[in-house]
Amino acid sequence: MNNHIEIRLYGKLRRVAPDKRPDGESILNLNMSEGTIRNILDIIGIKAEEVSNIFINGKLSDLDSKVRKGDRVGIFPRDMSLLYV
Amino acid sequence: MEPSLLRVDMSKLEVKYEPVPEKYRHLGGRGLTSAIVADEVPPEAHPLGKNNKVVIAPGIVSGTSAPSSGRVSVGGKSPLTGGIKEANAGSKTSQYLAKLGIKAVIIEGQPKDRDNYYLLRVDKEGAELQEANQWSGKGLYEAFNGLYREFGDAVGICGVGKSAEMLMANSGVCFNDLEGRPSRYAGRGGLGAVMASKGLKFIVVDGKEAPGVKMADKEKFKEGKKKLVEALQTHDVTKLGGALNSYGTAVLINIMNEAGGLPTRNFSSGRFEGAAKVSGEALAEGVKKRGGAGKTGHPCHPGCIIRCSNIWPKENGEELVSVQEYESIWAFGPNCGIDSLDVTGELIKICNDIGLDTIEAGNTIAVAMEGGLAEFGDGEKAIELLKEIDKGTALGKILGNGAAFTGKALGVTRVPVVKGQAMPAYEPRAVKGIGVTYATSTMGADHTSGYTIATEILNVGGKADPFEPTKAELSRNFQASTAFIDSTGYCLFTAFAIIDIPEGFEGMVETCNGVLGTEWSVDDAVSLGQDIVKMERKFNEAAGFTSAHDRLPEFMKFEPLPPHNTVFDVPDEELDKVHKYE
Repeated sequence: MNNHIEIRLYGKLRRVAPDKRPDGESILNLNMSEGTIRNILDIIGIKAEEVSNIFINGKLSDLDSKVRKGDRVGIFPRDMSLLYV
Repeated sequence: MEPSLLRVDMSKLEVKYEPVPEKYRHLGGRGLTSAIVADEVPPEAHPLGKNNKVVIAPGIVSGTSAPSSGRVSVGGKSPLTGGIKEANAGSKTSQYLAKLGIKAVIIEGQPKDRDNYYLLRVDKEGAELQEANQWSGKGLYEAFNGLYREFGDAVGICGVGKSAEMLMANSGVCFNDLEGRPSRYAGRGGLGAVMASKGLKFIVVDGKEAPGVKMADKEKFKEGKKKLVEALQTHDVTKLGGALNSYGTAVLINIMNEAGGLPTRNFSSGRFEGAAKVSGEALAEGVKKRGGAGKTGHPCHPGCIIRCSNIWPKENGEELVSVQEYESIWAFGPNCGIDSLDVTGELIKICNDIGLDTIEAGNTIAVAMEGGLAEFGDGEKAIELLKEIDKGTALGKILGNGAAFTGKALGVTRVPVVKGQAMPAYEPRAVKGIGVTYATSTMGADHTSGYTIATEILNVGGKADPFEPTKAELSRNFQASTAFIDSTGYCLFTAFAIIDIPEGFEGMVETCNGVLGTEWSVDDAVSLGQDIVKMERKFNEAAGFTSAHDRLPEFMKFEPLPPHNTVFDVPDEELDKVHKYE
């Protein structure tokens, strides 16, 4: 298991990742053992109101959901929420 | 002008206008196509025989100034599923038909001589059939351009391609977009082949000086429209600069991939490592960088305020194709292991030209890959396979009949179909409610017939755990409200705004009341939708469907899907509850 939390950012939120390309993988690895999504957003400099869908290991989650090392977190901005075809 | 039905008898090559029977007066779109099919087509009819019919109907408010209301429904008995079918598209043809006072076009019979193709011309003076052989055997891009030279470039066109002429079960009905491309498909279920089996190749509709939609209560309509416009313009999904408008429907590629529910390599995984390269973000960036003909925020019909369509440019800025939307990109991209928008664009363009539904075609190629005809990820080979359909080779005729047919021909057991129709871009093992809809829809596997994803993944209209199997009620409610929206002419995407903003739904129903003079409430609207589903269900039962057909393919019950490693564990009893009404 990974020794960090893997944060995958999309849309406007990619700005805080090293790879900001819209067709790339904007990943931030946080060296922390656990916390909430809210803690993580504070650390990486994203405001809670900028965020829409949050996934932890592929499961829809919210700002107070707990995250542990080894988890994969996907965070989408507000202008990418709620889409269907 | 009183609305009428336009009946086209292809046995006698005659057309006539009929008054609208009382029982159809308040119907439109899917409600009307399904009612006419249920009343006039024997359930046991061969889909390609003389007793099947094709019914084309604009929605209740199509042709008015209501926002995003240019959908047109096409109905009949499906050669792909063997059941009742309604497929719809956004097109100015819908608005022209409505403005000409035509509630539905009913195409019936079959000419004895099957060598000739005809086109139906409709304008304010009336309708007539004429020979159309010069456009048969051609790609639709060439054929549509020929029609514009003959009839002017403002006409609305509804047509079928070469695959339909070869009576392949994956042939859609194609409508032209605002700039004239053959790109707006009522794609699913093979109704294109039904139309071609009657010798009808095109319907050309001239909306010039059309009298307009008769309205019972203009004030009520205006009030309703105002509420709906406000809802659409404030909701994050549907507003200008919102998700659909900025990224197109493909914004969902990254979301479903993150959710672990993006079917990959013929439904063998829920995550695709190349997803970012074919995402809505990649698409918007490509359009921006390449410039030229590229465009996002492109409307499919006049008066759309959502505008989720796009035009994808080649590297040199010239147009490659319109439209790269979520389902089509997914079908040829992740589901075939392909991570290039240029390749998905090429494949979509071939479908537009030949006359194929992209969801079924992408699933077919993926099944063919699984069956050993190509490696997953081999875009060149995928293009070659689609071209076999165009050429009408023996292999092409297998592929042109869809995923189930191809799976059988190649001995593949992992074939993602329900009632013979291939699944769209949501994996039922990761999102159980959509699996319930796939299994129990009257249409075969169809996400649009009950989009539980809204609640299970996107938190629209409440929140439901996607892994929880008790989903009969959720799916039933979505199936009912969808059947209503499919009858109005409104784009299904309006659902986001009206589910979250109650005044929006009220406004939608009020615009219908304004046109029809009815007094429907929001609850009435849902129960009207329920009645449509019941009617379709009755037709399917008479056509031979039982609860055994309301099931997902067996492999989904025992093959765990990564990354969640879950199977489809919704019990049969839960599936059977969907259509058990109080």
